[in-house]
Amino acid sequence: MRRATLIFVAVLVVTGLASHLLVIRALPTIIMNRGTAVIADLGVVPNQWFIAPRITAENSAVVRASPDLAYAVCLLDLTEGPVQISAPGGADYGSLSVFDDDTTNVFVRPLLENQPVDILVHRAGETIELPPGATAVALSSTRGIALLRRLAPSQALYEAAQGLMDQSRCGLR
Amino acid sequence: MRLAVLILAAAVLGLVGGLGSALTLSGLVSDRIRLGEIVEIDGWRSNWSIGTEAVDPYTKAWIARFGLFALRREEAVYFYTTVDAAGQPLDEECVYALDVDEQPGSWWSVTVYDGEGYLPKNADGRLSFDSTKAEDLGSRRVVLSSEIPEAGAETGEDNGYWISTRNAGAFDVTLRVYQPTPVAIENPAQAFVLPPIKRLSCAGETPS
Repeated sequence: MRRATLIFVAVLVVTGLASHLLVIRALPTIIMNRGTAVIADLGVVPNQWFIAPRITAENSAVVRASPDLAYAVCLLDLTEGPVQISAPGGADYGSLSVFDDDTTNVFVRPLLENQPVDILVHRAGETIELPPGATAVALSSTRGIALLRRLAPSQALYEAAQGLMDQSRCGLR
Repeated sequence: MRLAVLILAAAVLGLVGGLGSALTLSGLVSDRIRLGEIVEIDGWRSNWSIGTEAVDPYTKAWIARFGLFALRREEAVYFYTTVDAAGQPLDEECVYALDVDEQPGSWWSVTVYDGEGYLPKNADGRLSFDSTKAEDLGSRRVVLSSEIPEAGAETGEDNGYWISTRNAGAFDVTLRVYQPTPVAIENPAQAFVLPPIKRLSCAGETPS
């Protein structure tokens, strides 16, 4: 009887601890996967900028999206090599940010007037040839997401932000 | 046979306990648990750990749940509150006003989200109020209401100060400050002056 109790407690503790640690470590990636799946469902192709429509109550795909911002998103897939991302500066607030597949904001830079941002996103440990003027951004896996945010509280500013996308790039190096 | 049943029962209990404790501690079951570097100012709350490489897996999971795609504090900070100045939960049945002071950053905005974190499902087209609107109107007063306030009752004939809470239910208010100053990041309690949300009236009540 005592042996059975010991086995019961041992199995309970081991499975409890193992499942607890497994779940807690996997949660950020699971949440990120759900977030990117929602974005992919909008028809977003990896390694290309997708210009999101102006945020409304009806089309808001992710929680806490800001209706004052124009968003563009690029789903990163580094399986075929590094991805180069560039965006011009603007007169109003803007930023370029990169998130890895467990949601960490690994890079963010404001898009200031006449100060374009150029980055090369690659896998950590991979040998890269950095283009002149570009900043290297390493991801721990082959997947991530890049986001452009620009101030757009009015339709006119939203269209101005859209206009800057012609000068923006997200694609394989 | 009896031992096998015992082991199976222990394994199932362990799995349920492990899963439940992980979801609870990471805030997925309830938002009452808050991890990371919490900043609280006059009833508003922010998490300075958002976007950063979290030091422990619990904080990391919590941040993934509540701050997906949110920027790190050097680029933007997010304050939110679910209660008014009297500590009562914010509700679409009531009308509120807040006067937003100038913030220590390049741009700020106020947005209402429903209990699930989504924009209120209505077609009023009044989802937020930001510093560019405040500049245009010459006023930083914001009114939260499920009905259109009387034109000109506050500032501006077009009710530009209005955020619609129609269909928001029990809601929260988020105040974003982009590109906060380094001093504000270092000493938030001294740098940020966050507005009390004053309840003006509620459905079924005589307006105060």
